Amino acid sequence: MSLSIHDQYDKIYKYCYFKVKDKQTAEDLTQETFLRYFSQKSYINKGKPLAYLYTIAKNLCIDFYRKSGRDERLNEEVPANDEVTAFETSYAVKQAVSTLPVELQEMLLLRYANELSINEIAQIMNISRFSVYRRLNKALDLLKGVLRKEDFNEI
Amino acid sequence: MKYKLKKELKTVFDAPAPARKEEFINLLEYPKANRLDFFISQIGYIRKRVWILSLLLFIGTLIGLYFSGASYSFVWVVSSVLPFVSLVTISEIARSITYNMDELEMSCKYNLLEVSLIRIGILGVVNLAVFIGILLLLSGKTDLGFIRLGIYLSTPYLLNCYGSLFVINRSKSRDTVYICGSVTALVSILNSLISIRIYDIYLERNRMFWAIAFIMFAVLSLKEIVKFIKRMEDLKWNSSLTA
Repeated sequence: MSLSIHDQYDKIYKYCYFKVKDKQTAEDLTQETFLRYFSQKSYINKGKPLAYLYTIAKNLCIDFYRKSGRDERLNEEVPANDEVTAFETSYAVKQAVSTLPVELQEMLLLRYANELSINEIAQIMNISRFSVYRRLNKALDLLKGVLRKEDFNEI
Repeated sequence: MKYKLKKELKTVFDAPAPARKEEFINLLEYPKANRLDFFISQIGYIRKRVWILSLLLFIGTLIGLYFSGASYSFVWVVSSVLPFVSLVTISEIARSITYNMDELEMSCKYNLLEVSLIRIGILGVVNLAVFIGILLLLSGKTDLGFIRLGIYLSTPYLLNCYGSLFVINRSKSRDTVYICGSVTALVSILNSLISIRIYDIYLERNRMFWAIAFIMFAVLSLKEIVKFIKRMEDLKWNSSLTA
């Protein structure tokens, strides 16, 4: 892996937390992701390592929902009063993001929070680069529409 | 608005701090990068212009030899161009120092000295390959002989190495690369002027002049390389004190 394992751990954990909204479960899934990733040594040296790491995490999250019988859509909204709000982020933006479809939220997380390239996102989501561009622009436009302009007009 | 929104999106997805991260990473057995991986990774950081210029010079020599044949004038043209190859190399070395990358590199597994030495090593091998390639091509076409031709071609190159390293070791300015560029241009022009004005400069009776110049610039360059390494070690020491 080209980037530090510490950074990647935080990013995968953030991704899993976004998916399952539970600290304990997110960390379990993150660790399982890394264990599975490093058990496939042959793949690591053949490129696309980052996309592969996220694909494992994504599949583990899907398995988690399948096994627990929970509905992924129940977690679309970011809860207002849980520990997430303790972080210094704009509540307005959080609320606005929570109104977007989960798929667009996931894309925003990968692109802006985890700083993945368009190419890597395309590999993880299994769509074309053009689709990633289009959906990201759509997500930003939707967000801008939801947010009051006066909150973001200064740079 | 878009800029601020993107900035906000960086933190919107923040999760509570993981509780078992350090414990897990310490116990995790994952393949760590070895020396060879590190060496190969450094090749990727060398800018394309180094490879392109080296290749262009080599192809240029081939074309020159094909069309004009080897003559004294061709020797000075090649020897005047060679310092530009060293300029590209020098600019690579100066880059991390000039753009304040020292501290960042210091925090990595391999320190700046190791990173710099490996890059110098790779660039040195590339330069040497180009140099020997040109030397082999030219020596077969002239009656100068391998060693004499080698000295004629490498002396301006060494003078430029010395001049550029002299600048790097004493300047902390962001314009270091431009100063090195000026040194290269000066060396190249000087070499051309001397070769044109003093017609018999490549004759055998001047071989002592060339030998002395070659040894002098080689020793001075070596001195500057040692100074450069010491400077890196000082940076490493300073960094360890402030870490």
